[in-house]
Amino acid sequence: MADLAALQRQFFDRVTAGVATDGLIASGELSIYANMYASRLYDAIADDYPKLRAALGDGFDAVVAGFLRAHPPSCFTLRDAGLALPLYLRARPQVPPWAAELAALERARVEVFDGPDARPLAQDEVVALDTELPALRLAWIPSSVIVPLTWAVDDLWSALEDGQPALPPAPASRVVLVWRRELEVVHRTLDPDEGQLAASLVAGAPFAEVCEQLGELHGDDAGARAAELLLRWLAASALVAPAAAIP
Amino acid sequence: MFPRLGFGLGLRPPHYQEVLDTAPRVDWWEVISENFLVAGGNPRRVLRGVRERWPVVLHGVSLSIGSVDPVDDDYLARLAALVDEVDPPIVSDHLCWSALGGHSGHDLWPLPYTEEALDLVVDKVRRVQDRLGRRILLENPSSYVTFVASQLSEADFLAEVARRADCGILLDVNNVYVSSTNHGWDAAAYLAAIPPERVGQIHLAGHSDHGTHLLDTHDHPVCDAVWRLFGEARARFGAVSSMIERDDDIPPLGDLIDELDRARGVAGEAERAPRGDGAAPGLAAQHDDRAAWRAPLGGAAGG
Repeated sequence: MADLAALQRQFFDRVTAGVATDGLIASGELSIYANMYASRLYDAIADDYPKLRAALGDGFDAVVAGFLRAHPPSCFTLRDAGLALPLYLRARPQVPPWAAELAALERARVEVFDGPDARPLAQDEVVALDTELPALRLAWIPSSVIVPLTWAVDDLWSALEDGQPALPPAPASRVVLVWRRELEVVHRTLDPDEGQLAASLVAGAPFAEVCEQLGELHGDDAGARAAELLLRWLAASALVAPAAAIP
Repeated sequence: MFPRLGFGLGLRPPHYQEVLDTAPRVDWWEVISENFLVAGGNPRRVLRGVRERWPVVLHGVSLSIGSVDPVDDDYLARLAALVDEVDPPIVSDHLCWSALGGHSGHDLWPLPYTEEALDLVVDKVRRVQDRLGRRILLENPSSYVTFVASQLSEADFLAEVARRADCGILLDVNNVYVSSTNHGWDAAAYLAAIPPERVGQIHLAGHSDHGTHLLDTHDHPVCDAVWRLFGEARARFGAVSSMIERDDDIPPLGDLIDELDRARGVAGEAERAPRGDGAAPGLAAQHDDRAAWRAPLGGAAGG
């Protein structure tokens, strides 16, 4: 296998990293493959991170080039070629500190787009529970991602979506829920108390426990607030039902 | 050896909803396997909807059958699950390699046509077929280089892989044209080296002319030279399941259906014409398997 392995190594290094070859090619141009490698991966990442590309402007190309050197694609699907970009950006002092969080928000939308299907919990199912409601286990639908933020990149995302200028976001402690509502990928910045509950609904929590957590924040108003949030989540098709949600 | 499905198209996202809403005159659809190796959402919804009404064949781009890397077990397991779900009449990938040392190039890189590469590909095809429990088809790639190390022609290499691994051939007529133009090969001789009984599917597509070379871009209609080669292929290989791929500058669905009508016309003419070798034009009259594969998921379709 040595000859074929050596040939493929030469070819691969030339196409992906520009390393010169020796006695490999009888005819044609390896640069054609090198150009396609670079452009295909760039296009895939640009497709997945359009807001980051807009926000970074000319700096985006250098980010992609550096990312691909640090994280050459290792998965069979182009969908995952940019999977590690948010992580990569966190350790890059030369890019704005909010860039990793904007990338995380965009990546969450990619993950949710073709994530697992699940039937959302319906309001009439909840109403029918009556006195069993406290035991109802609330959990986000499987195609959802919680994105904690320290910068207001949710506002930046919305501004770019609306065609507004990409102004640098301000520091802000927030939690964004990204989920798929039927076939549409949506996200919403959670209220502060809602944001505190978000993590416990990833694994699922009984409604009674949600009320208890809210009690620490709202005292006597916790019941009304819990009902308000439950109705909001039901209307948004954000909770999974019933087999997994009801003990 | 392989089902004869008529004339198909590649199913692409811009046409998803129109296909489901209007049920266009297409005998079958080919999907890119990797686009549906996902958990859920719209891609899976569309696949279910299309499969309820048409045969759907799976065409992969990530098998990397020619790489010295082993076959990616995770990929193969997910492909096997998709095959079980879709029950496709045909499963195919490319005679190429695309990954090395665990890193993917997301391209269809050409092989040196050597005895060593032949042994490797044959062994890997057998393993894949054992895992999937069925024959696969390998497609001839478009290529932009040839290797000093090559000992066989591409057509002879592909024919030998098919014979020794007992797999099929997906003959991409546009790729034959592109590679033959780029490397000075004789396209007719290429077709003549392909064993007819191994050809299970034919691809048609457009390419772009970059002056020094042709690039397999799938962004143009099929050109006249490729139509002529398709006619020669149908005369030689008969009523093989044939389809058009379009992946960029994707036109309205109606334009592709018109182009598919041209494929029907070219095929009909080719198969009615007397053959140059004196044989009767009989291959075209072979049986039609479309009805068997129209059965919905979990239905009677099989084989």
